[in-house]
Amino acid sequence: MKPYKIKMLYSQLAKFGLITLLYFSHTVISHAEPYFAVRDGLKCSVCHSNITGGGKRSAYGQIYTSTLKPANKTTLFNPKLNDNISIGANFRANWTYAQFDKAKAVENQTSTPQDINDTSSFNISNGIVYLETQLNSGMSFYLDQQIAPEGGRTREAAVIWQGLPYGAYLKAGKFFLPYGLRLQDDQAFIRESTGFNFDNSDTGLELGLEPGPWSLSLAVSNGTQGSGENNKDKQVSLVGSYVQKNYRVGMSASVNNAPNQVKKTAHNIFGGFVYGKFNVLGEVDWINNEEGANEIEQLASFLAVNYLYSKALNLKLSYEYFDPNDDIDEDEQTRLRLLAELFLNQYSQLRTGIKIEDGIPQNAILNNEQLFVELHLFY
Amino acid sequence: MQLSSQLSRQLCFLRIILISLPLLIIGCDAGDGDGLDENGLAIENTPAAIDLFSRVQSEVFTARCIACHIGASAPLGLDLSEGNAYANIVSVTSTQQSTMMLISPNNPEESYLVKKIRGDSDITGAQMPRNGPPFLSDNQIQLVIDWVNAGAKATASSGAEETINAGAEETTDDNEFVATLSDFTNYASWQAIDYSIDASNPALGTAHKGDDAAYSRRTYKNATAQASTGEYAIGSILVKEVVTWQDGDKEFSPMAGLNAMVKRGGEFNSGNGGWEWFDIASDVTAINGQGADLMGGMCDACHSQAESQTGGLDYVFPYPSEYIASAADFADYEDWELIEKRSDQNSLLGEIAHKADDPDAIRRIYKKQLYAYPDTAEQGYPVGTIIVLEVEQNDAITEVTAMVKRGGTFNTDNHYWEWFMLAPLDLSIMVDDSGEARGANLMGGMCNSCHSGANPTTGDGIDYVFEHKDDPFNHP
Ligand code: HEC
Ligand code: HEC
Ligand code: HEC
Repeated sequence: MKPYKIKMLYSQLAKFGLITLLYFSHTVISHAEPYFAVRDGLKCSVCHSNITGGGKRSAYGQIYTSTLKPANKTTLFNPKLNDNISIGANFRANWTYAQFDKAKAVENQTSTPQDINDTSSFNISNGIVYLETQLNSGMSFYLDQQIAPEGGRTREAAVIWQGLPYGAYLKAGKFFLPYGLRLQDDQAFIRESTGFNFDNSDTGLELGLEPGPWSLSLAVSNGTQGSGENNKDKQVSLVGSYVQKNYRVGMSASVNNAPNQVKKTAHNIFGGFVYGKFNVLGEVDWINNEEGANEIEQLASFLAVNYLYSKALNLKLSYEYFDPNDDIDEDEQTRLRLLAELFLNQYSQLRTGIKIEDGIPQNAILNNEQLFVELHLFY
Repeated sequence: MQLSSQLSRQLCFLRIILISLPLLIIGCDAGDGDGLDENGLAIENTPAAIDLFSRVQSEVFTARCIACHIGASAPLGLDLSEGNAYANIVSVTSTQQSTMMLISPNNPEESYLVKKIRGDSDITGAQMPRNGPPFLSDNQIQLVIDWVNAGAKATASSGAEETINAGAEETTDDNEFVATLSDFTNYASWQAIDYSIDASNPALGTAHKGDDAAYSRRTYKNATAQASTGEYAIGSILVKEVVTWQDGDKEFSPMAGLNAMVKRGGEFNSGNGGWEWFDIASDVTAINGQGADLMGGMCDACHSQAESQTGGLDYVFPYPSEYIASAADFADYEDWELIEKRSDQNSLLGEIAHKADDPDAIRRIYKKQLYAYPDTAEQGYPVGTIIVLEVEQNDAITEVTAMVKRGGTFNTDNHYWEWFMLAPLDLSIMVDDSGEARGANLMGGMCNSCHSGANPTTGDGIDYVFEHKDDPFNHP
């Protein structure tokens, strides 16, 4: 982005007092959540280098956070090493206390139910470094390397070619597949059960169009989620969204064929809108796992209401629902979460909240209450 | 214009549907689990699992992994659902670390899946399950390890041992681990944390053949023990072999050749760290003795001194062990095994070392422990091995040098050897301007560099020791 453009955006941001980036079809702070994008009516690509959201922030994404707190406008640190090379990082350390309900005995079974002791743990849930090299005005190389927890692995490594006719772009290499809301929480039912999250990337080719308010991305990939390719069957995934200043809607679909009559299909609708200091975000997914004649249908959904208390503080109430097998009754799971997200400065965020998970009473792990505090650093 | 306003109305409508849908779902509660087992499956579909793999499948994979590892889009293509898991893991190469199998039968330490659930520091990516904590319980991890140790079979070989074992663990609560014979069966595939000979630890006395230079000792640690930091976790097992060699074969000490200590926990032996002591038949076909008071309480009593040693902890002595020699160790070297006497011009001496410039010099090499066996692993000769070289010129001993396998963290770049120059007259350690003539870098590192040529690649020796014709383990 040219410097004068950044300036313009900056003044606009300041003028409208835009706050959170919603990272919808593309945007925002590395993992900072689609709610920013919804809040500001932006596409993911505005704030995120890799276009479809999550990962390294673009220059705009950088500036965005610095508008969140008054003192933020000067900084000693510049993630742009020179005109062509910029770096980024994302680090989340948290403390979680979890208390598990007592498990109920399984009917007609003598074995004692497995209870789980409360846990209190410090974790590095995420440590990522990003590198972006602008090769020429349209072409860049993008790398997303996880360095923690434990050993490192490459999550994304792709060539991105932007500025093609009709605002199209091409991505080739290993990347997160385009599908649904890119929630930060990889374990959200809608992300975990569909398999589209920051834990899974796949090798392939993605074509995108961004005409006007529309964003469309289509990817064809191996479908092995990063492991060696073993067959000619491919995975196709697609997401389209329509973005307006105060609302957006979208849908996604994906088909993944694997050998031995194994197939996974998933589709969803999602959307969000802004209403005063509130913004609301939701997604419903229908998932189908086939294996020969066996078929398991699942339903997962997510709803979040964000209340922007101040520029830097967001309060969030979210609710998730998951039916792991449509053919089995009374196996559903739910999660309710209340969260406060406070920007400390343009490089850090403090998140704290509670989460209540409910599931079948026979399984202690599905029934718990959690308290957590997370420090999130990013640049 | 009209069109666009119509479109926007429609979109508005869509918006309402979209919002109300999840709102409707909010009304939904979690299932009450009627008629389901702990994995949320109908009860009649899940017969009580008895063999090890069925238990691994239902208690680990189905319970904790298939939230992600299922179907066509499973992470790294790894489907762990029932009916698929076995073929995807046993003897299948890991994607993240292609030098390892996900499950290598009988070999939990070389099984990447085991490392992933334990969260070993050398894994790629995160500890599994990815949505932990909580991660798997010690019992769940042990169950996977037991299954791997028992050959990672698809179903039980109706193996009485396996079922008995399963039963034994079932009846005890989470905080107690009752070991049975099968828990030791594959100890030799565990990580060997020490290999030593002679009284390399002063606390040994006569225990574990510490007074008999013909026997060496090797200690193994199971996965739970390895994963433990600080005090050992319940289910930790340490096994110790005491062996010598007979016609090139390992021969166990007839007395207590195979000992083990198991962190049992619960109420057991609580005054002594909850450890249970074992004396096991050397072919691992029977447990000859076990309990808190094995050997009349001597195991407890002597092992309780472990903490007083630097690096010792929770009844376990420090590892890897270290042997710091003193002049007294060399005093009687002429009574040791003479493994070679030669006076030829060995070209490997480079015409300088060990008086090689004198064609009439005689070199005699003595090994303190004839049965110190340089194994193929990193460790080579056991800690405590001592070899002395004397040079005789005109009927007088003019040079005495020695090498001692010191172990610990000493001279790690050169296989833990310590080098010595002894005074030929009184066999004291020679003293020069810089103090005693001993250490890792004696003679400016020349001992190290020239002796490093004694290795299987050059064919001149093993583990820094040149070959000698009367050494049963180091000659052509
Ligand atoms: C929340 C989702 C999730 C759950 C639950 C989960 N995994 Fe994983 N697993 C992943 C992801 C994502 C990866 C790849 C990234 C990584 O390793 O961090 C992975 C990678 C692996 C690998 C590496 C595969 C290879 O070929 O190198 C193994 C082994 C593994 N998981 C085993 C398990 C086991 C066993 C369980 C259950 C105890 C489990 N996982 C539960 C998501 C999950
Ligand atoms: C007189 C002291 C003494 C007695 C008695 C003794 N040990 Fe040990 N043991 C040691 C020492 C010292 C070591 C560590 C040095 C070594 O391994 O050579 C050791 C090592 C071990 C190890 C390896 C793990 C560790 O703790 O370092 C096991 C297992 C073991 N002993 C079992 C037993 C059992 C079982 C008995 C009783 C039948 C027993 N020991 C009795 C001194 C003793
Ligand atoms: C230039 C090479 C060279 C250097 C330097 C050297 N050695 Fe050796 N050493 C040998 C060779 C070759 C032998 C085999 C003996 C023979 O041929 O008689 C040997 C034998 C020995 C042995 C008997 C065990 C064995 O490996 O065969 C001892 C002990 C020993 N050296 C100690 C030392 C010490 C201590 C130093 C340093 C002060 C040292 N050596 C330096 C070449 C060297």
